[in-house]
Amino acid sequence: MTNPLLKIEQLSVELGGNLILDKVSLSVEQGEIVAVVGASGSGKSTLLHAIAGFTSIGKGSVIIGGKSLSSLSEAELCRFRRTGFGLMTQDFHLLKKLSARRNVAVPQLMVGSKTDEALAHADELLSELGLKEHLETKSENLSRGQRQRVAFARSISTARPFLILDEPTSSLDHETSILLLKLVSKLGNNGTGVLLVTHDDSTIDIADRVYTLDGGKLSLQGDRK
Amino acid sequence: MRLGTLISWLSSGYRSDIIKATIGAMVAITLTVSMAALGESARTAITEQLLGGGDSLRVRPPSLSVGPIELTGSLLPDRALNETAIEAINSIEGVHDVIPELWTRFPVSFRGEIANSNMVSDGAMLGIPYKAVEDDVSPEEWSWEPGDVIPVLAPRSLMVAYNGGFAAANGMPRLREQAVHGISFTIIGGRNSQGRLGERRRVQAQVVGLTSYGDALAAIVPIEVVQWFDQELDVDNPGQATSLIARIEPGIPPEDVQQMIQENGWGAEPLGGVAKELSVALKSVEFGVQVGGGILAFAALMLLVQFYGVLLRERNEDLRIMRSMGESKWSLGSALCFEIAAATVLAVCIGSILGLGFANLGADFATTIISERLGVDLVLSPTLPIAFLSLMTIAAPLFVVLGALPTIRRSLNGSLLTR
Repeated sequence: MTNPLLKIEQLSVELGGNLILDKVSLSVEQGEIVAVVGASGSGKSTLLHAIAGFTSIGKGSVIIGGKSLSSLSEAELCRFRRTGFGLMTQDFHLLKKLSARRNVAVPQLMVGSKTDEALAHADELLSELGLKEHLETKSENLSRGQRQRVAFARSISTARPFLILDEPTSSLDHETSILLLKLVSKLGNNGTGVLLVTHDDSTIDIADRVYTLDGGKLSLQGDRK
Repeated sequence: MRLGTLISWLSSGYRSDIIKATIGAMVAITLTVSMAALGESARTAITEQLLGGGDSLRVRPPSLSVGPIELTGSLLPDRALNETAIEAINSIEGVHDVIPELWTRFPVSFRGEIANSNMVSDGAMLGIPYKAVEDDVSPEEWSWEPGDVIPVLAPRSLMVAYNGGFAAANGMPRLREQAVHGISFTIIGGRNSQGRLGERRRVQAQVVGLTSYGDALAAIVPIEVVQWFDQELDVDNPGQATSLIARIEPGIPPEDVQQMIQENGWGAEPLGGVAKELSVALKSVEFGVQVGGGILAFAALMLLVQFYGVLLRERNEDLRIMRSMGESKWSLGSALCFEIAAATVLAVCIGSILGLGFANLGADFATTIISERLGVDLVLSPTLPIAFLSLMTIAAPLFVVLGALPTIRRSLNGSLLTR
């Protein structure tokens, strides 16, 4: 068995004196799609933020690519965020004054791609997601569903071993959701480890394993393997 | 991410706000530079054109005093400077050259017409060689022989005094510099309102120009004119110099030369009293303008810092996103510092150029006003010292970046995307 891309052991996170995550353990292998479901306020997003290094880890450990997140320096954390994983947050967090294609090109530029190549690749991705007509539209002028697709395109714009998706289909119509999930499955088949957080049952269909997060505690709901 | 792309993309959508802030700073710098350049050029012009350039001393014959009473000319039998004395003064260290002067030692009055008003005035003539006024008049205009019309140079300080007060007080029109040329009048030697000396001599004269020479309120004429009057009126020691101007070597303190001359028994006093005082006063005004302008520029730069701070807070979300995607604080900070520094450099450079342009436009206006009010055609040439521009180009962005640094740091130390 290969080393897991992500290994979380006994992770506990407290925010404002409240225990949000309670001894959570989880692993994601290469090419595996793992889904975490839970009600609002169950700690799903906190789990993702802890994995991305946005939230300080209280107890336990998060190991990505064989390295403990808490042992990384500031510079290593920056590099890790650039090259270690792709992230799509629930609120999309696009650069609102930039066009859709520029938003998608930013991660590529951060890893050294040339501007024209990055923009060409961004155009391809956005066209695939049905946004060909909106390449130059500022993200602040896009609809919520369009912004979600741009955010998704941005998260997969560079080849990274691990992908974190927070409610990836929450604002999409049925057809676009299917299209996006097919792309996620394709990435999984190509070896990318995917952790997706959702409350949408249709989304978990593509997952290899499904966990439930409730009151900060994680439990395995199903394992297709 | 490459710095250029980062700056360009990070500022995308905020450029119009950055440009507005830059224009604000630019306007203030334009005003400051134009005021400073105009003030400096006015001071330089007045110093050069009224004071007549470099430092000079007027040297008089050995003086005799009893206690506080100066008895020069009253008791000394010989008031003139002879050849030996002139040579001795010329050889004193620090003296570049000497110009012998011959003041009238007999009553003089002028009779003529200015602006259709008959005028009779007591006065004096100062005879000088051509080299003393070679910048103001041609050799042909300055040559004189008995029987010719006497060429006269009017002192600029007299012109200023006439236009600045005398004309208004006597209901007479102000005269412009050009209008003075060609004024004809009669010089009467040997007689004035106080009395007469021997036979009087009447000679026709004509103004051929203005001069800053010698800080003298007298009709400046060729030295041969006074020598001729001396002989005609039978003055003692006719034609001998009564004083001289010692022009000082550049870089030599005039006080040192003055002291040396006085130690040799000569009376010596610096020239340009009024013009010098005016120059000092203008220097004070200019200093005030520079301080005021400096405060204005400082306020403008502070405003730029404040405005940039507000703009930065609007971009906090973008910075958080960029950091969450892996862009380092260092590169983001560099981009932000470069952005505001570039805006400041732009404001300084364009502001300085515009300021200089406005100063030149203002110079024409000021020249016209001075010419109309004082009748003196001052040539104002506002310039900006390269040192000042270089200092501003370096200091202003540094100041602005340092001022904005705490805000930039706060923005970059904010939380990452935790919601």
